[in-house]
Amino acid sequence: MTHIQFVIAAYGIALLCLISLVVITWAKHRRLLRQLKLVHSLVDYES
Amino acid sequence: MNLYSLAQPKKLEHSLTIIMPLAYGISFILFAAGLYLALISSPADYQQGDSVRIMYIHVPASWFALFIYGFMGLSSAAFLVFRIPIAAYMAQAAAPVGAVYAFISLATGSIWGKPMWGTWWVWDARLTSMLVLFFMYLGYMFLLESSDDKEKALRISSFLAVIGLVNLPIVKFSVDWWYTLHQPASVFKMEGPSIHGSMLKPLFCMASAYLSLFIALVCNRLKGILLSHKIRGLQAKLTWQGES
Repeated sequence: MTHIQFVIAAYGIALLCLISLVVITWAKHRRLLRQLKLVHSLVDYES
Repeated sequence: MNLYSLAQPKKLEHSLTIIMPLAYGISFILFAAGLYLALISSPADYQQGDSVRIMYIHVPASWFALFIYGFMGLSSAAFLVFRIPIAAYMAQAAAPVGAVYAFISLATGSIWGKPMWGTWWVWDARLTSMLVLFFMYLGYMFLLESSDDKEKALRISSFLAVIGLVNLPIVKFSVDWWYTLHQPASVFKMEGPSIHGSMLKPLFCMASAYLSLFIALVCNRLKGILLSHKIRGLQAKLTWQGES
């Protein structure tokens, strides 16, 4: 492997990890917001 | 507004709603600028050639893997001593970010080591203590999920986080205390940085990017933790309404 290939591999892995972390965090947050909306509507329906 | 008012979930949530998008925006700009400076604008090293560019992604990840563990340990100590639940939630929010940064440090360091040292890995003091730090992060996160009793799990994992603080000076000073393959400090030392300004600029730009991304992600995850508590409270109310 040439030096450039090592650089590309390193940056590729790092950016993949960071982007995955951001995407997973956002997705979890959106899932919780949907869950909150559902539970709110259930509480309103019950009362 | 004083610092203690941030321990109230409603006030904290309001602050997080303001800080989070700002931090994400700033981190995006800083990463774009940092990547340009690191990959295009900065010079190659006279010995390492273009491999030196791995420094700009490896070194800030290492710095913040240590910083985030320190943040986690101090937050956990605040939770155990002062019984502030928000402090434990902040540690909980920071852990995965720190674990990813530690993984990036290990992976990019390994990739840098192959062309420079001729090996992907050596069991020298710096690399081994950094690997231990990564395992401490994983241990903290697994302990949090280990029990159905969330309060108990939070207390046990907080103890682990505080005990793990002993590893931070070991990681930092390992290159001074032992004869290691990993080079000694080049930036944060008594005599001042020994690397050229043309390389310091992209390094600090990427470090700022890592920091702002950490702030954005912790705010995001903390909001998620507060949301899940709200949901649990409403579910308990639903159960109570159903029973009555």
